[in-house]
Amino acid sequence: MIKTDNLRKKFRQKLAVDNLSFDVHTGKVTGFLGPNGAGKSTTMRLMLGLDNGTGTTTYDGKPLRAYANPSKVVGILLEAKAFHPTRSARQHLAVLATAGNVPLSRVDEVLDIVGLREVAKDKPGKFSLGMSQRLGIAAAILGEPKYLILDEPANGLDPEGIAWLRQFLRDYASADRGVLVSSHLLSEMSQMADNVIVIGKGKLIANTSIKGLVARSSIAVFVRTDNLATLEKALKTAKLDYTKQDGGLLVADVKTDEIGKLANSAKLTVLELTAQTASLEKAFLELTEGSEEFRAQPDKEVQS
Amino acid sequence: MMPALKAEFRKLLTVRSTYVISLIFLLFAGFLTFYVDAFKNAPTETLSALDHAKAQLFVAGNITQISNVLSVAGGLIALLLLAHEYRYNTIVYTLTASNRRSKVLAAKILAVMVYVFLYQVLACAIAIGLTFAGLHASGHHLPPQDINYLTFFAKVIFYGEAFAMTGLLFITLIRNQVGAIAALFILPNTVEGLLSLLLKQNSVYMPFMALAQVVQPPVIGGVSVAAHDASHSTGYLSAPRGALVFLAYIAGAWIVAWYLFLRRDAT
Repeated sequence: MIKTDNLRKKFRQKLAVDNLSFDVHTGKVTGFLGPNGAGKSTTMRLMLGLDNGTGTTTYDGKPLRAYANPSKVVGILLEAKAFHPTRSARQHLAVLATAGNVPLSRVDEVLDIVGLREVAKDKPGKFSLGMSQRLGIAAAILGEPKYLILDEPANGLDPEGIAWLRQFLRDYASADRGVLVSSHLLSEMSQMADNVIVIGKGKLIANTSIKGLVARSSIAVFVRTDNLATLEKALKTAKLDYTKQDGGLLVADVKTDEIGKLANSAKLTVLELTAQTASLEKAFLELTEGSEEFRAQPDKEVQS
Repeated sequence: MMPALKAEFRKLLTVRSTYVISLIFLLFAGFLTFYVDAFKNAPTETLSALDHAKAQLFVAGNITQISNVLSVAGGLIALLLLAHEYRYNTIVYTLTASNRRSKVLAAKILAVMVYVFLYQVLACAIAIGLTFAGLHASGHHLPPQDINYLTFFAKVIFYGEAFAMTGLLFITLIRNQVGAIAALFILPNTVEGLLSLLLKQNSVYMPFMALAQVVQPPVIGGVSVAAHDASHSTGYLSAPRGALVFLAYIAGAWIVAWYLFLRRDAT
């Protein structure tokens, strides 16, 4: 298990990571979510000792520097284009393999895994973002580490690449290894991750399963009866918020059971009763509301 | 430590810039030695006493010149070894692959020192070879050369290593490729040159002027040609003293740079 404890990082006056503590478990893919500027990348860098902050991160109980060969413990992808543009893809990986005391034969293996064998001799400076991501993933898995820390690995990948990555990470984690992956692609995260850690303005907002996160989000029930006016009166009496929608009412923060009982007590015939489950996106937006570092203002007209 | 060291060698030898810089500087220095010095400006037969003494140091002078030129190449190559890591952000891989940042820096220093050692040895061999080739081509003859080759090679290699460590020092401190290269070119010549106008005789205690004393031609018959030549405006130091002065500066600067390398964010 990766255990972070009170990670804290300040850039001059701005607190980027604020006493952040969470665990990344083996056997699971843990998603790392947060709005732009929430501190995800800084947190990952703190976990790896790349940035100078306070707090501790342990990997199976020991800090990374306590391991003789950290490449066997954690593999990283923090930036897709982190390579020398004129050193070939194979040479780039060979340098990393040498530094990590990994056999050079592993280089071709990982090139095969990520599908870059044919361009192994090419200079990665001309690689597309998707190809660069694949090279970054190859670098991360080079030492067959127990843990992977990946920052936006799906950026730039085509749909086939994203599907491959999803399956690859799930398979990787299933072999009793841990994966921490940040992404802005919430739909992807909902299919990829078992657990999610949500941060905003450097603080922990949620650390739960995907299902738990969605369940925490406000839910609504759509109901249609033979007498809408009576139902409205009953909802007002029960002090429930609702809006009219598609010939029925959408009642907020309530379960279907409660609406069913309410309709029954009002002697109404229920024609339709549907729980409106929240998406991960909705849950994410609700959780991180107010913690965005950067926010567009859609009401403002574009100045010509 | 060994994996880090091997990785640094692999980095050094798998980037184009290492070869381009090494070759360009070798060609330039070779041209200077063969054509400008040995072929065109070799000492003539009629010499004053001092010029005769200088002529006895002709080969030594050419080795000094070529090593001076190539030491800049060594400095650049050393600088780029770390500059590329910051520029292309591969420093994150380098630092996470090792459990100690000190190991990374020590590996870089060792790799650079070995490369520069071999490069300077090659430079000396080329300087000697091209000097005699140029003399032969021009039909000039030199008086017997008064040079202790082993001592002189040691000085030349010290000079090359010193410049390489300076290049690595600048990039460790500045962490910006353009800034570090500018510092490598401006500080030793322009800045010290301007300061020497103020410091006059004491200029020789500035780091690069002190370093230059290390490769000044040796003493002949109790008279140092360097001391005689040393424009009285900059002063004179013996080679060991010059080396010590430079080492004091570079050691102090490296203590700061090493501390910063350990403490700063890897960006």
